[in-house]
Amino acid sequence: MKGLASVLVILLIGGAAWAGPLELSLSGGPATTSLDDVNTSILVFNTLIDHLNDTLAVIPGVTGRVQALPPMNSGASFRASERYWVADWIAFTGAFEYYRLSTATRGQYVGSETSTIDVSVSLSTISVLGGARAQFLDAGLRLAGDASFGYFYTTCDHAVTFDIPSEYPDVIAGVPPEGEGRNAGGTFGAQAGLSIAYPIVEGFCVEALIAYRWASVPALRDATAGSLDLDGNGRPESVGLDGLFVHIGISIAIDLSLDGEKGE
Amino acid sequence: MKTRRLCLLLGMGFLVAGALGGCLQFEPSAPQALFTASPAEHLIPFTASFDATLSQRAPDEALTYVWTFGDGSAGAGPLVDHVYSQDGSYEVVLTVYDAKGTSSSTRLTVKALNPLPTATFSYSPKSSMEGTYIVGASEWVTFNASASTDDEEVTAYEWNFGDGTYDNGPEVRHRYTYAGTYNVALVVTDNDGGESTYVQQIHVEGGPPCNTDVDGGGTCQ
Repeated sequence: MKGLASVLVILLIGGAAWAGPLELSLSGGPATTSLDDVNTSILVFNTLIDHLNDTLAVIPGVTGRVQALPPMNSGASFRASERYWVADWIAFTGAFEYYRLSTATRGQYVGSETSTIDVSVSLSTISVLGGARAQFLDAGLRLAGDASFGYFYTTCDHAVTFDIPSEYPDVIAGVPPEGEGRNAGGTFGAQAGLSIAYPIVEGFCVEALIAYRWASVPALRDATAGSLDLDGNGRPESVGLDGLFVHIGISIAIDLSLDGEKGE
Repeated sequence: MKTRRLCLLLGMGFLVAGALGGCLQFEPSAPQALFTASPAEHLIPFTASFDATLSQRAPDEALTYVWTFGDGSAGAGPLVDHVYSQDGSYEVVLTVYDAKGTSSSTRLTVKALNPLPTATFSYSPKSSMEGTYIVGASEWVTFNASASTDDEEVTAYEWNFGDGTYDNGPEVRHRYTYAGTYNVALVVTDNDGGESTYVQQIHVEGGPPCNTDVDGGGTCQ
């Protein structure tokens, strides 16, 4: 993974060296995603935690309560990109993005023994994208449309401890399996959005980007090719990366062309 | 003017960013079968109650609940009871369907336990001496285990007379060569393989001294 990231950084910087009029941009901000099956699994954990909280609260001699897992709806994403302006109004773009979101809960029930519930799930996605930006308004603020296509690689780290106290009177069917592991997988996807840039000084802009991402990783596999199945229902979890994101960042124009004119 | 535009740009960006984090509500994309069983292990006959109201579904969506109880019978509904009258391990399977026909299944093993037989025996003849029952050495004693019981059938009776000899059957005869106190153990087995053991002390009086070889087969205790 580090090797891939290094190659991408070299490509981005290297691209700047041979390209003519180009911009380098760094941005970051919140991103949302549905995650579909992964969040369904989190609902299963939360249903069981709520049920245990309610049931054990009325059993004498048992104390403790476990907080529910926050759903993984949003996280932080970062983007490094470059744009090669082939004309005043259009540029080819290349971008590297990193996106991470996570959730966790930990708590204990104390009765005749201590029972621990400890669940953590984190998802990291890196993507390599190529596309185009079309600027259609430059009136102090620059308004542009942005579309790109690329590969998304997602890694899921998960650890589950789910001890049900012996005082719990029934038996529950469908408790997710315990253990920890790492699953990963990739897919092709696309994203498109709008950007607004405001030039502070010549060659330096503050910009905002709002865009939507379309990508869904059908299955994440571990080292033994086993599929990610957080809730233990026998169906592999797909990871829906569809979602909106907003970035605030800066861009620096580096004019390496011989005549110094952008878009010539 | 430039500062206003910059503030407007940043303000709009942060406003949208902040709104994004809070406006999303997630709903499950597929049903998830979950249920509780009470009890999941018990002596037969017993009634097991199954509750599938924990199952996941999208809000305002009705689920169809289909059960198989592992003994050839089936049921429907979120709350069901089932009577297990034969011992064994039964795999209970709950399948839930949403309105789109998407399904999810979960299974659990219910153990219907066989009640163990009760072992007991009596013996005769015997006489009472100072509040203790005794039998005479070299005297034939009849051991009778017909009072042993089971919910179905006791199929085997195994005797250990405590003097190194064994026998089997519901009624057996035995004689002790030497005086002494012997632990007589009876093991009864029912038709499901369940076993139960009963031990009773037998006091034997009279007979030759312990170091005398009688019939070549007696042993001292």
